[in-house]
Amino acid sequence: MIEFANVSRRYANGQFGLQDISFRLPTGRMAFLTGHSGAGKSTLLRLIPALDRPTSGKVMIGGYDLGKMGRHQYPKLRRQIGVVFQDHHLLSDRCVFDNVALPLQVSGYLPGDIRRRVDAALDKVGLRDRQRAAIDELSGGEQQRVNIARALVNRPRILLADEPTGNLDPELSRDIFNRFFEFHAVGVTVLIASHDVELLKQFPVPRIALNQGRISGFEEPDA
Amino acid sequence: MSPNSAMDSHATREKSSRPLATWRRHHRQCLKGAFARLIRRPLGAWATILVLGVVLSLPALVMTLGHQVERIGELWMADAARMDVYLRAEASESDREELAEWLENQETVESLRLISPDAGLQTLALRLQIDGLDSMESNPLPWVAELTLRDARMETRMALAEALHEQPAVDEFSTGGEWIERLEQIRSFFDELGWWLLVLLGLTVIFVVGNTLRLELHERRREIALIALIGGTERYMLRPLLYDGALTGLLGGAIAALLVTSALSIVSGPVQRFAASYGAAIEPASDPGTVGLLLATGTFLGWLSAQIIGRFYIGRLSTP
Repeated sequence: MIEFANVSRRYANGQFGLQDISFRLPTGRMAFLTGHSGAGKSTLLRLIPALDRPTSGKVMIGGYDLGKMGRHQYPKLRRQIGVVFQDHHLLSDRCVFDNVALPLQVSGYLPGDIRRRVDAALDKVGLRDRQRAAIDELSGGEQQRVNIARALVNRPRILLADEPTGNLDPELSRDIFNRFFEFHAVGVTVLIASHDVELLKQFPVPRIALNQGRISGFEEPDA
Repeated sequence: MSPNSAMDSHATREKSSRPLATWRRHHRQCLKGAFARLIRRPLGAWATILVLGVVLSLPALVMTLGHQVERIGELWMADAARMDVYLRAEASESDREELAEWLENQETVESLRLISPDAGLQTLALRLQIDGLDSMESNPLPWVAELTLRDARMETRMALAEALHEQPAVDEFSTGGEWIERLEQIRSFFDELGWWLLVLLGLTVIFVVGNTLRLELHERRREIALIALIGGTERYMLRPLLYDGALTGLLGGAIAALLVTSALSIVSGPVQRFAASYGAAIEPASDPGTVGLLLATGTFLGWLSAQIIGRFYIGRLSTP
C-alpha cells in the first residue's frame, strides 16, 4: 500500500512542489496521476522510492514510514519498486540484455537466474529477439519496452511510471498501457503519472488530479 | 510490512544462495572494468598516472638517498668499531684487572687489549718518530684499554659510555663516533624529509586522483543514479571507483619505482668511481623495500582518494 499523509515538499527557493497531499493506494491497485506539466506528478513519484524527502508529512510504503527509514535501507526498498521514466534512463553503452539484467546484478542474482529472468521479461515486452541489440539501434517504443522490462525483471511490488508514453504515438502508447495492465493483473501496485488525459480516459482506472502541487480531485472511472 | 520483512518479496528466494561468489564476481567485474576504462581513456588516465609517478618518485629519491648514506656509514663503521678507555693514574693493578674483567663481560665488547703506559709511549715514539722519549723521568701516559666493539652504532657506544662512567678506575674515554653520529643525523634528516614529502605529496596524489575520479563519476552520473534507483547499495556503486583509484595509484607507484631506479642507474657509475677513489665500494640501487613501499603507497592513496570522492559524490547522487 502507498499512503501519503499531509505531505508537502518545499524547495530551497521557497516554492512548493507539493502541498498537503493525502491519498491511499491499496496493495494491488492501479491509479493514474494526472495534471499539467509542473503540477507535481514527478515530485510525488520521486518520494515513493525515497529519491526525495518530504518537507513535512508522512510517506508510508506497506505501512512503513519512509521518514524513519535509514539510508542503508533505501536499496532494499528500491528493489521492490520498478520505475519507468519518459526518457528511458537506459545505458547506451550496454546492450538490451545488459540493461534489463542490471537490477538483478545489483541484487546479487546468479548468472543462470539472470539469464532466465531477463529472457522472460524481454519475452513479455516482445523484445527477446533483440536482446543483443545496442540501445541506439532501437526505436523510441522499443526503448520504452526495454525500460518496462528492466522495471519489472526484479518482480517489484510497486510499479511507478512517469510520463511513460510521452514521446510515443497513440497506438504505441496504448500498447505500453496494456502491458502495465498485465502486470497490475498479477498483483503489482501501479501508479502512472501522465498529462495525456485523452489517453487515460480510455482506461477504467481511478485518477488523482494534481494542480500546482495540490490534489484538485479524485476521479473514479466511468462505469 | 517493512523494508526488512515484508518488502522481501518472493524474488529474494531466488537470489544468490552464494553471496560470497556473487561478491567475488562483482570484484572481478570491477577489476576488469577498471582495466577497460584505463584502455578506453588512455590519454587522460595515463597523464594522471604519470603525474602520480613523478610526485611519488620525489620522496622515494630522498629516502633512497638516506639509505645510501646509511650504507656508506655501514661500510665505514666496520673499521670504526673501536673505543679507547683511559684509566686513572692511581688505579692499582687489581683495579685494572677488575675493569678488564668487567669489560670482557660486556656484550658489546668483542675484544680488549690493555696497553701499559710504557707500551703507549713506545707506540707514540714510533708514530711521531721521536727518539729519547723513553728517557723521560716520568711517563705521563695512563693505562689504556683498547676496545673492539661488536658493532659501531651510536646506541652501542652510548650504552657502553654510560656504563663506563660508573667504573671507578676509568678516567675518561673516547667514543670516536662523532662523525658517525653526524652521518646518522644526515641519514635521519633524509629519512624524515622523505616521510614529510611523502605525506605532503601524498595529499597531492589524493587531490590529483580524486579530481580524475570526480570527472569519471561525473561522466557516469546517469549510471550511478540509475543503479541507486534500482536498489544498488553505496558499496556496490563505490566498488568500481575503488578499483579505478587503486589501479591508478598502483600504476603511478610503478612509474615512480621506474623513475627512481632509472635515476639511480644513471648516477650509479659516477658514484661508484667516486667511492672507489676513497677505497669504498658503493653501488647505488633502489632496494625492493622502496619499490614495495611505492607500489603500496600508490595503491593505498588511490584507494583512499576513491573512498573520499566516491562517498561524497555517490552519497549525493543516490540519496535525497
